[in-house]
Amino acid sequence: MKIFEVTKVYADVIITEPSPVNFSLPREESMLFYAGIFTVVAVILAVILLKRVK
Amino acid sequence: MTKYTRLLAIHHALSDAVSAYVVATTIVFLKVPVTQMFFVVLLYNFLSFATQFLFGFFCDRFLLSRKYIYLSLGLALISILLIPINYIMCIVIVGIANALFHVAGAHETLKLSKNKATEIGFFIAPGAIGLLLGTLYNSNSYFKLGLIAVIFTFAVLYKVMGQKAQNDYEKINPSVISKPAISAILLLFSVVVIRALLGFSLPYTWKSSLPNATIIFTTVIFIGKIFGGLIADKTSLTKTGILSLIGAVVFLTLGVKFPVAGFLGVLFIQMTTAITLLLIYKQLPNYPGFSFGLTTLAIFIGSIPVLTQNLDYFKTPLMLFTFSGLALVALVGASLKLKPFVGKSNSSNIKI
Repeated sequence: MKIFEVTKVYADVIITEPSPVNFSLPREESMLFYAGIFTVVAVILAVILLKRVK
Repeated sequence: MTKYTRLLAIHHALSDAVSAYVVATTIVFLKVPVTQMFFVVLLYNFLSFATQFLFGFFCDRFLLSRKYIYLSLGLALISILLIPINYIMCIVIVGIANALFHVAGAHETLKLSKNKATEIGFFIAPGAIGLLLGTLYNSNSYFKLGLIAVIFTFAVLYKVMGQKAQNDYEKINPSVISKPAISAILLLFSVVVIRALLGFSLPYTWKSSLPNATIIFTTVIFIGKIFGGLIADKTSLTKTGILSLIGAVVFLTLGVKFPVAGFLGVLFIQMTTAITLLLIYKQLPNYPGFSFGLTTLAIFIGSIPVLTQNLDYFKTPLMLFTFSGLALVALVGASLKLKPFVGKSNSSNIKI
C-alpha cells in the first residue's frame, strides 16, 4: 500500500510539472498549406520508391 | 496465429495506446484551443502515418524489423518520460516510434501470415482499442506507469520469443511476381483514402447524443477488421471486399437516420482493411513494410479534410453515398487489374 502511494505521488509530480518550452502553433488557415506540402512531398517520394521496388 | 504474431498484435494496441496517451495528454496540458488542437494531431499523423512507406522501404531492403521494434519501444518510453519537459519533442518522438513499430510489425506479420487475411486482420484490429484506451486515460498517472511497465515487459518478451520467429520468417521464400500492377495498387490506395475520409468524417448528428458512441464505434471497427480477414480467407479477397463495400454504400447512407445502420456501415467498410493491405502486398511480395506504409500514407491523405477543418464539403448523406460508391468502383477496377503470383512460393495460396 505504501509503495503504491509513493508511486502515485511520484507519478503525479512528473505528470503535472509545467512545460518550460513555449511555442506558438500555426494559425488555423495555414494548416491546409502545411498538410498540402506534407502530402505532396510524401506522395512524390512514394511514387519514386514504388517505381524502384520489384 | 502463432504466439509471436499474437505478441505483435497486442504490441499494436500498446503502440497506439502510447501514441494516443502522449498526444491527448499534450493537448490537455497545453490547453490547446480546439481549432489549433488539430495541428498537433496533424503533425503526429504526418510523422506516424505518412512516413511509414519510407521506413518500410528500408526495413524491407535491409531486414531491419527487429531493430525497429526495439527502437520503437525505446522511443515510446522516452516520449512518455518527456511529456513534462518538451511537448513538441514528445509528439515527434512518439510519431516516429509508432511509425517504426507499425512497419516492423506489419513486415513480420505479413511474412509469417502465409497470405492469410485473418492474421493480418488480427494484427491491425487491436490498434483501435489502444487508441481508445490512450485517449480515455490521458493524463492518468496509473495508466502512464502501466504503459511504462508494459513497454519493459514487451522488450523482455521479444528477447525471449523473437529469435525463433526470426528464424521462421527468414526461411520463407518471397513470392515472385512478374511485374507489380501499379494501376491496381493506385486504385487500392484510393480505396484506403476514401475509407479513411469516411471514417474520420462520418456526419452523423446522433453521434454526440448517443451514450458511449465512441466505445461502440471502436468495438465495431475492431470486429470489422477481424471479420473481413476471416471471411476473405473462407471465400476470396476481392469478392469479400466488393460485397463489404456494397454493404457500406447502403448502410453508411442509411446511417444518417438510423444509428444501427451507421454502425453496420462502419463494420462493412472496416472489413476491407486487411483485404486492401493483402492485395497491395500480393503485388509487392518482397516489400511488406513498404506495402503497409502505402496504406498508412493513404490514411493520412484521407484524414486531411478533417484535420484541416475543411469538412463542410463532405458533411452530407450524398457525400457518404458518393464516396463509398467511388471506393466500390475503385476496388472493382483494382480486382480487374491485379496480377496473380507466378513462380514458386511456400506461402499457402489464397484466391485473389
